[in-house]
Amino acid sequence: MLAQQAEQLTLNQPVRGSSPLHLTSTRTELKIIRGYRQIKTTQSATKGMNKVKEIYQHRDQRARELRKEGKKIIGYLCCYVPLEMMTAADVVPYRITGDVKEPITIADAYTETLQCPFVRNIYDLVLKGRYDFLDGLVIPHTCDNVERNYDALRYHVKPAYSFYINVPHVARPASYQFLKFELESFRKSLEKFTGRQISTPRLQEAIKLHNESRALLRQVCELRKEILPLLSGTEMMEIILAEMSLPVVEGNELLKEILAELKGREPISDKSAARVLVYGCEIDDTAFIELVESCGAAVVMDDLCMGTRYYWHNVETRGDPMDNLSAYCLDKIVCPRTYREGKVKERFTYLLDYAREFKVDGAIFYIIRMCDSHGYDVPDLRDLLRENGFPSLYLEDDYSMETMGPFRTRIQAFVEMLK
Amino acid sequence: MEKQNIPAGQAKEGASAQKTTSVKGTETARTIRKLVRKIYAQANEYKAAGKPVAWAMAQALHQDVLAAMDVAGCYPENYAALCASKRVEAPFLEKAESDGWARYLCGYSRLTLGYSCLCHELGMIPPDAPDRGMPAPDMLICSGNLCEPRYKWFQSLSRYMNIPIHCTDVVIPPCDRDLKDLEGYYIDYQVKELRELVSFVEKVLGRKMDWDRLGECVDNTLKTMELVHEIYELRKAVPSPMPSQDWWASGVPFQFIAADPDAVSFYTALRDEVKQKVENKIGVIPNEKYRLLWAGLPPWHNMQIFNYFESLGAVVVAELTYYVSWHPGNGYQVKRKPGSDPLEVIALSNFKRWTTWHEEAKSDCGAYQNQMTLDLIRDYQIDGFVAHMNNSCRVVNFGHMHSSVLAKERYGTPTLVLQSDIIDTRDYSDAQMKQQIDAFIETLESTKKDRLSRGA
Repeated sequence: MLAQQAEQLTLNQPVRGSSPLHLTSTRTELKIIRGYRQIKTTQSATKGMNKVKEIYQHRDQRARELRKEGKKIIGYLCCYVPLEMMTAADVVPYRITGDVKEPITIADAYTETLQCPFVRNIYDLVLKGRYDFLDGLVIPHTCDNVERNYDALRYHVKPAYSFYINVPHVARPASYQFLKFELESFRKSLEKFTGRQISTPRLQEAIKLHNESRALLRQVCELRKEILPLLSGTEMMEIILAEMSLPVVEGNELLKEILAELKGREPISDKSAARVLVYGCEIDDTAFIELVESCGAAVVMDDLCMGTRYYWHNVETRGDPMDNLSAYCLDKIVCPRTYREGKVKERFTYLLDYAREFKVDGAIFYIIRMCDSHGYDVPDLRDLLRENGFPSLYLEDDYSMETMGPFRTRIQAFVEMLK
Repeated sequence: MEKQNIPAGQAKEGASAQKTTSVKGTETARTIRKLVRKIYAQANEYKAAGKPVAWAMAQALHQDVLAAMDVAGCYPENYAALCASKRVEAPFLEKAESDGWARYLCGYSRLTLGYSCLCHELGMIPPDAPDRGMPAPDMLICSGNLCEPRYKWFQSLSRYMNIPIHCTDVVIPPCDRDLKDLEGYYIDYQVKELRELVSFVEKVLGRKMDWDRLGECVDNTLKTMELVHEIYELRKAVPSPMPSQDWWASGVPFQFIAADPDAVSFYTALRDEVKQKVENKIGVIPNEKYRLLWAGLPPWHNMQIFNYFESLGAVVVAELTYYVSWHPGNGYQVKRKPGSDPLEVIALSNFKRWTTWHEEAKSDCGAYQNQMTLDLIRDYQIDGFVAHMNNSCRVVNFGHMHSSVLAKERYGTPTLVLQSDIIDTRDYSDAQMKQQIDAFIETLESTKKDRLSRGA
């Protein structure tokens, strides 16, 4: 039944970022947004970034090519999945995202409507066959929505491979050990599925590669630290999503290429742009960031699932790699789903550091409706930022293009206030 | 459609257009208020006497620890349901929303946050808080079990109170793995988490755990679970001896004070009454035409909806929320040997409880909750599945649609989807609910005939 439904649907991939608010940047068009200068459009200066945009627009293209060549592609959700283990097994990890322009049509017959619209959207896409190139799924216990859809999704889709990593909610000494056991089970299941041993040296090598990826992304992000940033928040999002669509070695090569390009650029905004940090959960499409930047802001920093949480810290390389991966998940990924000791000020010191280092004028909270992990922190975080001189704007979204229009007015008013 | 007359004994309590509480099917369930009042009375008395009070949670494995350390537990989840049943929830919800808490957040949490905000502003418990209110706690104990709001919300309470807080992690194995591969380290981790809890309480109180007392508390909890298991088994009888609204009320001791000897007494009385009804074939209503399974937490502010089903000849004979969370599962089968570590017993009982349906689900529908649903439909001879979707308690909604698909495929059981909220009356429409129920009952007649003719 699901196969028939998938066949009936058009499987042409929609062009990402094709919202009415998006001014497509091509080799010949100029991107003119309030507060931004014209971007130079010579081919040599944008070759890498054009590759990024191409990959962003057709995210699954490379994965489909690799699959035809015999590679196994495994989809995953969230930052808590140790990609290094998949790379060590010679599997290509592929970050599953939603499609904010795709209306949900099938999923409502199989899963509840009263849940995170982002996860529901993904469920719908999977059922529609959008991810038919994946050989398997790896789902971590992150939020309730991600966790509670796992079993039903497995039942209906019947992937050749699936694994659920039970990530503890707390980070105490016993929690690291528990997670390590879970990751050992994950390793064994990957070895069985791929027929490849994930040896310690292979794992260490994979950690090195993914750390390089993280370091390169940090370097790219740092280009927004200057008063006149060298890249936009929209471009940063495109870069991250493109990187998530590629095997780590190819991703690293692309990042090196664009880093060289970007360093040679003219600044892309002037001082009139308000510098904004976006905090929240899943933003996997440039539409929202573009909207913010079209209102006279420069998104210079973020604390997002598909943002700094993905790359801001490295996995430790000394010692047992399995211990290190466990510690990385519980210590370094700052997603609020992990219970951390301390008051809000202690728990969010890092966010204040981001705001200061990147000379932020204000923050925008982008919270997907029904996101409990983030929703409970909002009042305290709002107050903390305000007390430290950073005003904020709270936006609640249904993971839909329809909300972008109403957001514009509020963002414009906020940005004007920041200026 | 013909509506049944409610029996004379029950009519006295029912039938007002404004009535929102339910008429219970058993005499014992009608006495539950005494135990609920006791929880808050004890907490207030302890506070007045300078004895420790904790705000804690259901299903978080800390009941026995608190009881053994002589800490009075206050349970915001229960308190929120109490406020909703008394229709006094609105000021607390509005207060929470005015202080920046989003309306989509769990109703229990919003009520507690609003309540705490008011207490903080007033410097005291709001004068009209039901059952004397929840006194300011000396510690907050939360858990990641069941849903993440349960620890995020308690963490958020630090906005209004500056006291120690602890989160106990509770781990449930995934359905698609072999239990023999993970039982060891799951239970080991659970025991360690329980030791952390004990250390936390010891530190707050400045005294050590009484391990013998903890053993006694664990024994009481296991006895409570065993009695609850018996009651669940008895409820399979036709006609139903005890309806769902009775369990929603009677489940309070099991959820929150299972270690209390009064819980054992209560369930002993309830078991005996239900057993007597089964032996004498005394049903909830004289002519039970349809048997329903309820999924999801109920609208605590409008429990009369269960009686509305009964007026149409349908009894809600069983219920489930998130999987075994209101059911003892196999947890009661664990027995504590003298001298054994009570924490290991708690951890093992919890593991057994949550994996009750593991082997069956692994080879069948692939998910605990859905397997339990299918088994309940079979064992309780269910004619219809009622999935109550909560606007603000979404975690207990998960799995209902999948259950609905499986129930239809496996047994031809139709589903009624209702939507409202556990606490927030703004999300409840009595007229709409009843209209949907009316239509559903009409379909049950034909679907039941179809199933019976097919031998399903």
